[in-house]
Amino acid sequence: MRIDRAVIVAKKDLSEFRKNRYIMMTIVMMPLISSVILPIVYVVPINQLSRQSEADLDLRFNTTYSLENATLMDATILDARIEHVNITNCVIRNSIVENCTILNSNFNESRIAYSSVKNSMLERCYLVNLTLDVGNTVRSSQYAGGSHELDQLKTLMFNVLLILLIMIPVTIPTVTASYSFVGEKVNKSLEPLLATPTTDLELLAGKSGSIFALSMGATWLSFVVAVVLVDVLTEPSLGYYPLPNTYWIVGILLLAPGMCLMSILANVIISSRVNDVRVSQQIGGVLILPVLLFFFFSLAGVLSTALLPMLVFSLGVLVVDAGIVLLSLRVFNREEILVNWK
Amino acid sequence: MIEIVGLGRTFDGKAAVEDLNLTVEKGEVFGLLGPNGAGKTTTIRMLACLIKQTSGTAFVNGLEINTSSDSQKIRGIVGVLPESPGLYESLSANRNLDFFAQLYGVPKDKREKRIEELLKMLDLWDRRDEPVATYSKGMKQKIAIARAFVHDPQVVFLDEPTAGLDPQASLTVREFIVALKKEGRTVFINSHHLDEVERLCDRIAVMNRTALAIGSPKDLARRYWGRTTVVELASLDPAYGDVVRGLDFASNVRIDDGRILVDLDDPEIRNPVIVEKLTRAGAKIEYVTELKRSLEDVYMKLIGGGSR
Repeated sequence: MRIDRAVIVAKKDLSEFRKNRYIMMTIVMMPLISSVILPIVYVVPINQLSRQSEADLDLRFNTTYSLENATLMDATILDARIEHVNITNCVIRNSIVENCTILNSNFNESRIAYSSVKNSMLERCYLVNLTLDVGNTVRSSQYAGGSHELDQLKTLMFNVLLILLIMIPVTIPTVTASYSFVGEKVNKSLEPLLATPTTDLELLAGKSGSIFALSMGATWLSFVVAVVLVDVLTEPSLGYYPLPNTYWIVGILLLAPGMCLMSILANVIISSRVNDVRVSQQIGGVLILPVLLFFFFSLAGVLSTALLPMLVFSLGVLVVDAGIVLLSLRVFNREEILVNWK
Repeated sequence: MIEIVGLGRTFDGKAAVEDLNLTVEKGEVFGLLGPNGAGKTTTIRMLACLIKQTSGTAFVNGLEINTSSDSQKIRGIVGVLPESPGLYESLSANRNLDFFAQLYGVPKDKREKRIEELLKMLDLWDRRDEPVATYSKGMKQKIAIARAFVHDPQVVFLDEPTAGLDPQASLTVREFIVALKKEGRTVFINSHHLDEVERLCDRIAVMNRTALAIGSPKDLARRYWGRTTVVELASLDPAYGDVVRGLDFASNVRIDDGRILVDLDDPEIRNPVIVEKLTRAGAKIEYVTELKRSLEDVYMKLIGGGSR
């Protein structure tokens, strides 16, 4: 394969894209919405969550006795100082609780610090560096230091934003590839192109390469803009720069290119069967489904927003890509295009 | 330059081209005539290594078509004008031609010179930077023709080069083809335009899946219609017809519109004998000419009765 010929084809396609108002609008609008408008909309609830945790509390502790290294079950404790205690099925009020393991308990107007809390109700409490799982109900309390549950929620929101960004490399090829492949077919400009000494692979690489470069350029630019925007807007309330995290980096370096390639090559296959750019775009739009499913599964908690599901999903997409590459090579050859393409 | 040996192609078991045999010499303008579906476009596509043949083979400049070693080389030395111009409408004529010249590997300095030369020959130089979408149909066809020649090919396949063009644009295209012929290029034309083929082509083949007849338009006319001498007389007496009928070399003597028509094998030798006999019989001869048969007559005779 001669790369220079593929580059010539890619440059020609890019020249055509530049002159197509519809393509340019998609290339500008899609990243603009995903990297500017969505992050701004996102920052509001994240900052709101952080602000809620800073609400003032007027707690008074009248500790009249203390408990250390004990096990408490089915007890009601008032005005105590409790340290290194296993607390199960208890009601605790107006107390200071530190370094404890708490299960199925009810806390009111207490200070709970450096403890692990599960399936409990915490109301009007001051919470310092807790390990909280999702089974807790926390009302009118103030967080100080880490809150696992809140962090989980924030992470989920950031990672869902990433999935929305990954729609860019799926959507842009749907539009550009439709014009590049179906458009050339409808315009009957493929035959003169096929009559040149360029090989089928060089043509496919050139045409796909231009779309890939354009889509991934827009995606990575959007990624940088979104990261900067989220960091700048959330740092004052979070106290740190949340992005990019490893989830985002894997998503943007593995999943985004994988989905982009899938979208491009799927359009090659679609092009062999349809004669209308809009029909091609509509069918190509179906490719957003895997991303949407991944998004909904993450949102619904079926998939965690940890690194592993993202890695597995990304690698799965790349495996599917390998299959689509073989299929599109079979479809995109002179004989097929001139004889069998409808 | 082009040698076709038993070439055939089937689509879903149905023959589009079968057992096609013909040879086109270097510098020749060769026309392929036939009705729709006769296999003309399929033939060009096979020769340009765009689709594969199902039987037979062909050689272009000594290279065998659709072989892994030669296909790309053939595509590099031939120019193809497909049925539709297939230009990039949003790009200018200059950019369209430059793109194809690059794909054919024409160096930048030669590319610019060649594009300028072609656009000037086709009267499009002044509008070279305008998007092709703003061009008329004729202008688009001219750009498509220029594209087929942009890499200075040795062989050019033109599929309906003047289809849908107005008379002036057709004339420009014809003059362009004649100029290229003078440069020694081999031009292979598919056309329905019999008059154009007759004027442009050194030889033609009438085909309907296979070649029904091959030769120069004049040869074909003679081969399929024979040679007919027309004798125009000042006044026609039916007896003059009998005088001609009495000659043993004369066949199919008929009187039509005050003229005597007679089929002859070698009119150059027989015409003086006919003139002498008629003069002796008292006929006053005004003209002795040969009846001209058009390519259309040949085409209709071959295709009209032999159509699928």
